[in-house]
Amino acid sequence: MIGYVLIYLFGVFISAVSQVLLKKEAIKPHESIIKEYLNPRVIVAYILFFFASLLPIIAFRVLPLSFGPVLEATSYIYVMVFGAVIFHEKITAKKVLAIALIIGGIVLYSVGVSLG
Amino acid sequence: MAVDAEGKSVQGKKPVRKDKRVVALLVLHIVLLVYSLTGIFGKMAAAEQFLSLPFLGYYAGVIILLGIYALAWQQVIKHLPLTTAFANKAVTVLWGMLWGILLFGETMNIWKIAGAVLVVAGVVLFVIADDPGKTEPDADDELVGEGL
Repeated sequence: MIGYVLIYLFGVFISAVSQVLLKKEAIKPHESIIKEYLNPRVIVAYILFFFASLLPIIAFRVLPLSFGPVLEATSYIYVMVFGAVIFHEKITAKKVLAIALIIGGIVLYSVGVSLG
Repeated sequence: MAVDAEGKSVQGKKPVRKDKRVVALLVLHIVLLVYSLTGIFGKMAAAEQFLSLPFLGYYAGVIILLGIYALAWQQVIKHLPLTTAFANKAVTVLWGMLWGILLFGETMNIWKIAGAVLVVAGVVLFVIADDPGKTEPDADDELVGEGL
């Protein structure tokens, strides 16, 4: 099961990277709505998004559907890290505690899944 | 004439932007419901042989829904801070459990429920931790102004 969990988690990471690309482009002014979508950064973001969409399907061969959104909560780790590095947001003790809760929750959920 | 000038100065007042924020959050949650449906199609595709016709059909469902989600998301995050948008994604944990139970005969146990509660609590705490200074309606506009 752990291999399939890792495949899912890798998909979440790829998605997070594409979200950052989208956000960086979204906060820039654009001449037209077409140029908001047809620019290199957004196109790369959508290619990553497409690739990331295949990974949960592979993982779902073994993992239950309800496990998916739980594993997706790891995206907050990337929100915090990318937020700090790229968007200069603060990493606070509360945020770190929040991430710890999320990881703890994923561990508990994994135990629940392995028990059936 | 003097009345006109006064009227103009009243019109010049900044409009309240709270309504926009509420609409953006509402749209966000519709978008997140659509997103949760991609999991259903993904789980259906996973049960089929890779690249078989049913697989491709379900995968097309994933891509179409994901496409709708992504295009809408890109518009929604223009009106909300990325952290707020991500934080509300916690609701998809509940959707996932509901679809799993209703459509795929998945069962819950105390570990799963406790795990889900911790995950949602973690996400809510993440939002609270990110909240100070966001009480001003224009907080996210200032962020945009910084040219990040």
